[in-house]
Amino acid sequence: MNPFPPPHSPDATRPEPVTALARRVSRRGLLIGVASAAAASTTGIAVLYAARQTSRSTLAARTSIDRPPAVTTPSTNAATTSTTTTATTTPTTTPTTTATTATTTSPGPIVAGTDRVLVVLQLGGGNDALDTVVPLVGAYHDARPHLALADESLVRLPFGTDYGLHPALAPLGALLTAGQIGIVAGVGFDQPDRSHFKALDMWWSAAPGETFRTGWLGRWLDATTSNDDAVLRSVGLGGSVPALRADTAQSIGVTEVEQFSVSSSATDAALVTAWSMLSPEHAAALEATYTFAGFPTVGAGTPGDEPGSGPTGTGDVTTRLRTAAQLIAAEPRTRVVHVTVGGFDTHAAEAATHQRLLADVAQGIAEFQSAIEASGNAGRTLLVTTSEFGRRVVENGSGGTDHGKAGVQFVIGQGLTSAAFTGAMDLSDLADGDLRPVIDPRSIYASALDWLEGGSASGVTDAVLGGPFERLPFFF
Amino acid sequence: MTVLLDSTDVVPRLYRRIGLGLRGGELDTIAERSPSDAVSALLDTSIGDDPWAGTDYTVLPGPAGGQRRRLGLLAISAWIDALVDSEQPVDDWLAWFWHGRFVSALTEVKNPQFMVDQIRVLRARGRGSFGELTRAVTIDAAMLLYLDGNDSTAQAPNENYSRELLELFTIGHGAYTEDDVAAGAAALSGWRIDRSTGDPQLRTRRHDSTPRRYLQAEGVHDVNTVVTAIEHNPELAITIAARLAAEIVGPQLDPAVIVRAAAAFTAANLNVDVLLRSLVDEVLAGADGGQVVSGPLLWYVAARRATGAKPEMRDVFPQLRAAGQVPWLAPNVSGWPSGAAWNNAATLVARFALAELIADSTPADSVALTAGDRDQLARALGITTAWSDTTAAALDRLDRPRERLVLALVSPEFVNC
Repeated sequence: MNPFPPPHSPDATRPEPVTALARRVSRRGLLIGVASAAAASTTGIAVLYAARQTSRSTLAARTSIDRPPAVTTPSTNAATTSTTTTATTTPTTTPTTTATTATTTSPGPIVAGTDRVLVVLQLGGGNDALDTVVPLVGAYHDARPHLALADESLVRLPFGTDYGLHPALAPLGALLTAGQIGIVAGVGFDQPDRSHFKALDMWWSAAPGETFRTGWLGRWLDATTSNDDAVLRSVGLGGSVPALRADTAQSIGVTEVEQFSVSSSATDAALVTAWSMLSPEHAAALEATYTFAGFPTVGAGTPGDEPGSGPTGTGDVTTRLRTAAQLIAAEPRTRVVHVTVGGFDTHAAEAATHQRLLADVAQGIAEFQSAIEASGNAGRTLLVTTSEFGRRVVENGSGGTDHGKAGVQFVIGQGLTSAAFTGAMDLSDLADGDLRPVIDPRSIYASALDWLEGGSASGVTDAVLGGPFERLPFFF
Repeated sequence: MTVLLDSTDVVPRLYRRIGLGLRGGELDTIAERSPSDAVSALLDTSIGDDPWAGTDYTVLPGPAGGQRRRLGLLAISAWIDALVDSEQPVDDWLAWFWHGRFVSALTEVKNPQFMVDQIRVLRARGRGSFGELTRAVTIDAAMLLYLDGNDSTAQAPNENYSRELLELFTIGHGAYTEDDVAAGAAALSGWRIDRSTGDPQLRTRRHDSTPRRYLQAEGVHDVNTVVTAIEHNPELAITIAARLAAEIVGPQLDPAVIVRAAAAFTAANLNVDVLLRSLVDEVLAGADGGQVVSGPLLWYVAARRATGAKPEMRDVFPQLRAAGQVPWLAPNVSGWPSGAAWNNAATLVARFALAELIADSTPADSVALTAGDRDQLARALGITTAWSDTTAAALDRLDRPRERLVLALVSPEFVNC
């Protein structure tokens, strides 16, 4: 029994892996001169490897090495949108005819940075909703004599609500003011489960009550896949990512960016080539390492560190979202990035731990938005948070909170047209001592997938989620 | 039970699955024995020397991050080396298996000595009564810290351990109610450890001794009655048998195998050794649940046993971490993933780096480096399945022994067993 099902379907295959890899690489201008894909099947990687080794040594920082050649003719895909000229066009200007964009991908030149990107940030362990978005009512203080945050310490929301944010979320102030944050309160499935792993199964599969088979993002990848897709079309940063599990689509999972390389000083190209021949997954992993190899080093912890703290005090959210921003800038064909962090299972001594975790969330998101703005990708990127449940309203004897039901999530991006607060956390209407779920997580997913597909309600979304779910009021 | 298979196939597989892997050339030794003798040699052992003898890994509470990290890594290294060197590999494998079930993590426990002491419990009791193992783990210092039993009081019980005890450690999700979780938390409240020694004490004023209904049992009020109720739950034997069977018989096994093993386990008052031998007998009789994918740690251990290599731990740790499996640092309370989850890009890449470290520290006279052709290389590594065409073609591209060894170690034929 495995509570974390594998991110990759074991029997999924990629046709003619090395050949396909060589073909893709060739198309990207790195294997010019290789006339036949068949001939390139093994030598191609060696050539690519040599080229990369040379390139890497001259790279002081991220350069255009991984970018495709300049685009002169838009692909069929891009031609259906009106956003090919700028990567920062907001969705409000996107005509509704783009809804089918993602399903009509066809071979052709790769267009840099027009397809939209969804970043899902999973706050593993069950983030305490009540100490994240705090209701300004007395019942909150009554339930949490030790944990309750003082009303005057809270970050005020720019829209009229009876809630305030944990003070550690202050770095999100500018995004709030700019109308780029939507708050979704009271999120949970109708039949919530206080088990981490059952709850995670529901969140990952978006199919409560069924045995886990595929993830919601995996099904979207399958529904919109084509033979021409990039190895890094979907990426999991920070661990096992069942949300990405698909019938056919492959995702790349990366834990430690610094270690994600097959080019130690002792490695020779022939060995790397032979290694990449072992399976389609090996070939894909090799190609993926070349993109990540160009990223500037970001802080990462070592075994034994406090959870969520690297050597410089940088937390996992910040570290992994930095990588996500680099990836989005480097690989225009990446569509889905799933970032997993843990530590939110605050059964004891919650005040200090939660403060540190939320500070990391706020720093990470604020830095991420700045980075994708700087790289011209903010207009095409949406970030949503997930967490398997909120926590019990009443604190326990350890200065913490036990597993609860509904939680709170954030939707963040320039594409929000009416950033606001939706849902509720009503302390006068509890379910077994927990916040009552009032918004189905699939409403967040539906809105996110609509966005990803171009901005309007889509049949693909409903098929992936197994039915129509009410969309959040943050998008037109 | 009748032994149907010859010792060149199924016995080496058992040595790999529950015996931490064959040493270089050991395959030939096994082949000279009858299967029953070879299996007896594997199973009829008693626990070996303490991996941490003579060293104190205590880090007292306080801002001692550097020392905690240093001593923690030393203690983890000592355990990995003990797995590599083990002459009683089944006992040590079982301790590793239980570490992945009764999870605690250094990140929360902080004091490496408490993790050492917990693994000592798993080594000492892992092959005996499951009930006694569970009783010992429940009031183990590392566990009381990791799942907050140390802070659970009658006035405000902490449900963390009570829930995972049922969901992850024993009977499994669906076999209990939220009321059971709450009743268990009350009955287990009141335990405190001495922060310097780890000794657990029941503080009666913090303990809720009210008799409660728990898993269909009445009058449950303390550790003993909680575990007794769990022992009597019919789901327990099936759940534990299924977990062990997935490792020994393979992940896609006939449910009838689990039912038979669970019956033997129950009849033996939940004696783990009986369950283990029952499953081994099933394998010898032909039960086949398909290949087991070695997670990074057991794969690394098997590779070192086969080659005689001993890479520098400072090089190994970052790669084990990137691969996703460092002892005492499980990603969460459910332990590590299994099976195809280890086929992700990060793990593939990290295995490659680890294989290079192993090859670079393999003694020059190791049969893993002196093997003449790929069949000899396979035997040197204890691989009994034939190389696939894909792996053979990849191996044939390489001339140097070091490169061929690296590739063989990361091949599906060695990773899967």
